[in-house]
Amino acid sequence: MTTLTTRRPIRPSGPTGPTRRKRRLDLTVPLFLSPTLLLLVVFVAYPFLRAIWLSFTETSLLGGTLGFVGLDNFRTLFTDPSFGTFLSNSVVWTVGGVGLQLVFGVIGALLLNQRFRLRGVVRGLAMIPWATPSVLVALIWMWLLDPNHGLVNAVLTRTGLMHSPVAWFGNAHSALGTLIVVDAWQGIPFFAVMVLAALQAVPEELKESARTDGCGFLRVFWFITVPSILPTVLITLVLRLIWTANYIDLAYVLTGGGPGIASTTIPLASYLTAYKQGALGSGASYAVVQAAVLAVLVAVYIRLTQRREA
Amino acid sequence: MVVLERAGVAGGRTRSERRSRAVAERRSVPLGAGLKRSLGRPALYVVIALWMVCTLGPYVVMAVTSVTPQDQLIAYGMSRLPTHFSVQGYSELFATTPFVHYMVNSAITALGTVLFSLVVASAAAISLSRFRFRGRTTVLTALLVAQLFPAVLLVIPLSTMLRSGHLLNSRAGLVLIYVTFATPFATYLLKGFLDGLPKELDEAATVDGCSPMQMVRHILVPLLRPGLTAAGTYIFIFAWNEFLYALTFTSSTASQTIPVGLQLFIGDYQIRWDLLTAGGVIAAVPVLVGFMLVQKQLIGGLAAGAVKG
Amino acid sequence: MRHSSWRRAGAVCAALTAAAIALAGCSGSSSTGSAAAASQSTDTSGQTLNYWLWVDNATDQTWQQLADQFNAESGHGKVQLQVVPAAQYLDKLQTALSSGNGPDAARMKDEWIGQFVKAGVLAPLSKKIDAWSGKSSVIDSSWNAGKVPGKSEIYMMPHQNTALYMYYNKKLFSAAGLDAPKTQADVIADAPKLTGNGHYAFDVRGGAGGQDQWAAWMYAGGAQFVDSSGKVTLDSPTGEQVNQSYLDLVKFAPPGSATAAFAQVQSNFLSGTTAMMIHHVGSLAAVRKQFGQDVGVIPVPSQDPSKPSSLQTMSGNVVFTSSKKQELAWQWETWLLGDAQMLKMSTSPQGQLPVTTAVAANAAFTKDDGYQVALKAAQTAQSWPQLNGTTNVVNATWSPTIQQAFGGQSSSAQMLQKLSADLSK
Repeated sequence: MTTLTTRRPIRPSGPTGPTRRKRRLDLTVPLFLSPTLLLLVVFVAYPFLRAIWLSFTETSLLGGTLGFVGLDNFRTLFTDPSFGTFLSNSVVWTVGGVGLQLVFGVIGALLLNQRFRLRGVVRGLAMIPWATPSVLVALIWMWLLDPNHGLVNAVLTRTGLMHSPVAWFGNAHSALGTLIVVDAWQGIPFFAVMVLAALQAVPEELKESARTDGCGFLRVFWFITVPSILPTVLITLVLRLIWTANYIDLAYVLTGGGPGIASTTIPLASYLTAYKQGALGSGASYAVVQAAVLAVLVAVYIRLTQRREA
Repeated sequence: MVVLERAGVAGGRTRSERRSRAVAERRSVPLGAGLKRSLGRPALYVVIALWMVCTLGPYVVMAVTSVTPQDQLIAYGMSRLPTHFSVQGYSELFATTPFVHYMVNSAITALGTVLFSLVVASAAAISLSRFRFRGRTTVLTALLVAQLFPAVLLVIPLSTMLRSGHLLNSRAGLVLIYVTFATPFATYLLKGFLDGLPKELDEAATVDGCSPMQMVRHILVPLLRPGLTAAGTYIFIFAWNEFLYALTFTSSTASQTIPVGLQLFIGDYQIRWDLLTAGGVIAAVPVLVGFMLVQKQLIGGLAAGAVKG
Repeated sequence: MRHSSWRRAGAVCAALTAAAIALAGCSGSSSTGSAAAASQSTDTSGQTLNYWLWVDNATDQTWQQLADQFNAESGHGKVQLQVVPAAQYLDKLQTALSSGNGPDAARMKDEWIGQFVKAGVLAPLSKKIDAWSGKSSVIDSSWNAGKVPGKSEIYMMPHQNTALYMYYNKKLFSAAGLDAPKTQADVIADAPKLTGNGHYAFDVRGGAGGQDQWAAWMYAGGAQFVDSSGKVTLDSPTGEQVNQSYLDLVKFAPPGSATAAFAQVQSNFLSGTTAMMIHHVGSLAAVRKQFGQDVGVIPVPSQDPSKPSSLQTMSGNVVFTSSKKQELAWQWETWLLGDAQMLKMSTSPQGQLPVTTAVAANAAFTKDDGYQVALKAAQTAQSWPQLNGTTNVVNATWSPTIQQAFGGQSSSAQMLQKLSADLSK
């Protein structure tokens, strides 16, 4: 984490500030920033370091810290035959979920950018899943996909598309895929809004002149629209990748990582190890691995945002 | 988690917004409705209708389930429409489960978070938008990075910290954590909003002999009100929806929020779908109403640029 | 930090308990003992005990009624119940204890206590039990459920004994032209005939709590979990074979069974979707209400009907060393063993087998065929070995391990090797 120390010497925003004003400003900025910085140091930076330390110890929920074990937790983790599954589940979950969101989010944004009646209402309604608690999303889909009473299985078996109901979350082959679809259902609106906002900034005169030059819809889209919305799409993409990679609410509620470990991702393995098996130290080691992998994405993200800020 | 979503919005927005506003004005002139466009029209409505069905359908199913009598649910599930409606799920929800506790906890926690986070975030946003100082970029980066830590990484040490502070299983502890994780984005949102307010205002105030504090109090805070509404909405949704921290830090009805309560229901009342969906409807309503009330501001702000430049 | 504070709390509580016991003993033997000190340790009126429990039937009010009755009596403090869903009971309890928010006392299963004893959070009860006048009323073998291997100390007051047996749907069986199964071979042969047209033979319950019916099947099939020296022998050839027969049943289980918890299992059996269910008398009332005479209760089919076995689990009550209300916890837990309370609990919709001799002789149990099967099963049933690793196996690792085996990602042998390794931890 970046250090947050140097903030004393301050230059006023005005052209030239008299020395008296400089001193007043000296107090204003630290005063205004300190609550935020204090919170970040106490509840983000410190726990971050502590989590790293925990990952080098044997700590259990009931028994407390039993001792420093060096790299043992990591050795166990990397030699665990399940780790490969956790890792590939993490990749499939993140790439699958974000991929669906990207494709349908962009299509959705293009739709919402058209002019049609009740556009404002549709835009508002389309956003609802985004403002719904993840546990509620899980509950709704658990009910829709219930093997014995759910609507989806009832419709599919009645229309003859399937001859017997499927336990979408209870089958090792479908559990992760179903979770990804639910995640996409919840996440597409956000992607659509972001892209929609970016679409507003596409210079209309450029599109017009391209059209008068005889460019078709696809060419206009490819040569004018895409370059213009690309920065927003990229940032949203990186953000969503990080966020989805860390997102365990749906799997925790819907499958608990099962059946077996078929839908367990690395962060879920971390949580289950820490709080289901009571092995905090070992759980922390999974989380540290997760953070290390994500650090790469975070670095990309910072570069992208700073380039835009500049 | 929603923090992360929105940060990108604020992260690199302002530059394009001024431009987009100009574009939007120009756009009010009707576009040449091409042949292609008018042909695509019915198809457009079909696709949008389909989208609305996929988005809203699940909510409708949930609402219908919640008023379907329990015996019909057991017998037919959702393969038949209910012959009559029953509010038994709702009355049982309130009579036999601690759902009211969950609602009260959620409301207090979310409102507390909004209050504290807005104060903290506006202060930080003002200093970041209105003052230039060494380390400013570092602070901005830190705010971004703070949102990107995996919650599972922080949740373990945070629980031991809250324990030593006697803040576990308390609403105060949750508020503290939520403020921490809601503030970075709220700061970004408010900073973006402030950046759009003309600098000339501050300068005029300074020329009039206002101190920086007076300038903040008399000029910036009143102007910030629309931004505070948007940030407050975001913070509320975040705190109302948050699951992982609430799951880990609460262990009794004294502090468990609706998401945790719903999750406990799923474990205990798996076969009582009328009860579960009734809880779901009640959990959804406040956020949906709030969201519909402010969505115009949120989306409009994103689309046309909330900044009056 | 956490470690030392736990230790400190533990030491203080242990000292307090010892003092309380000593004082109680004193006041009993000599009436001239310090009356003030004695009343301080035994007079609990004004205190409120925080007691955690799970319930087997979410709508049954028996526990609350017992608590109300206890609270209405004078001479001691009150008890406040906190019901936690069974599937998350252990997680929540451990988290709460570790955070200093734990209850004073709690309902507990014998298969869970290993880890708690090792962590030193359970108050030892032997001294109090020895001094308790009601000790002889409790069926003697019940006390073993509160011990861990190699120790004679008792950490759990027995309360309700559970011996698993099998329910079968008579109509579904006769429609398929079948009699009640006697052996595991019968079950395996009958299963395909009971499956079809939306009906299934049996829920294998790979989700929360499923380890108990699986263990019952394993014991009935002749598998051994530990040998006489305490070494884990679950992955023996016999074990592997019996386990394989259980895994094969997934083909005749309803969709979702590999991840199902009790709610779905019971719902499937009550709606006639499944023809057999392994459970205990805790569901007897619900099953009878639904089916009346059309349901049969039989022992868990075994490999050899002359050597029946099953799983028994004891649910009891523990006191935590961190509690400052040790005496009130003791009063509540011994009160629950009183004849009237025991009868009320055991005959309630979620009632199980009584652990006191007087109540066990009650006609409610000696005349009821369901209870008869259960009581008979209890004579030959075995328990989970109370190892340190058992807590983790039953709460965390059994489900994913068997789910992988159901899904074909691991073999019967691999599954048992994994479980043996976890048990031995």
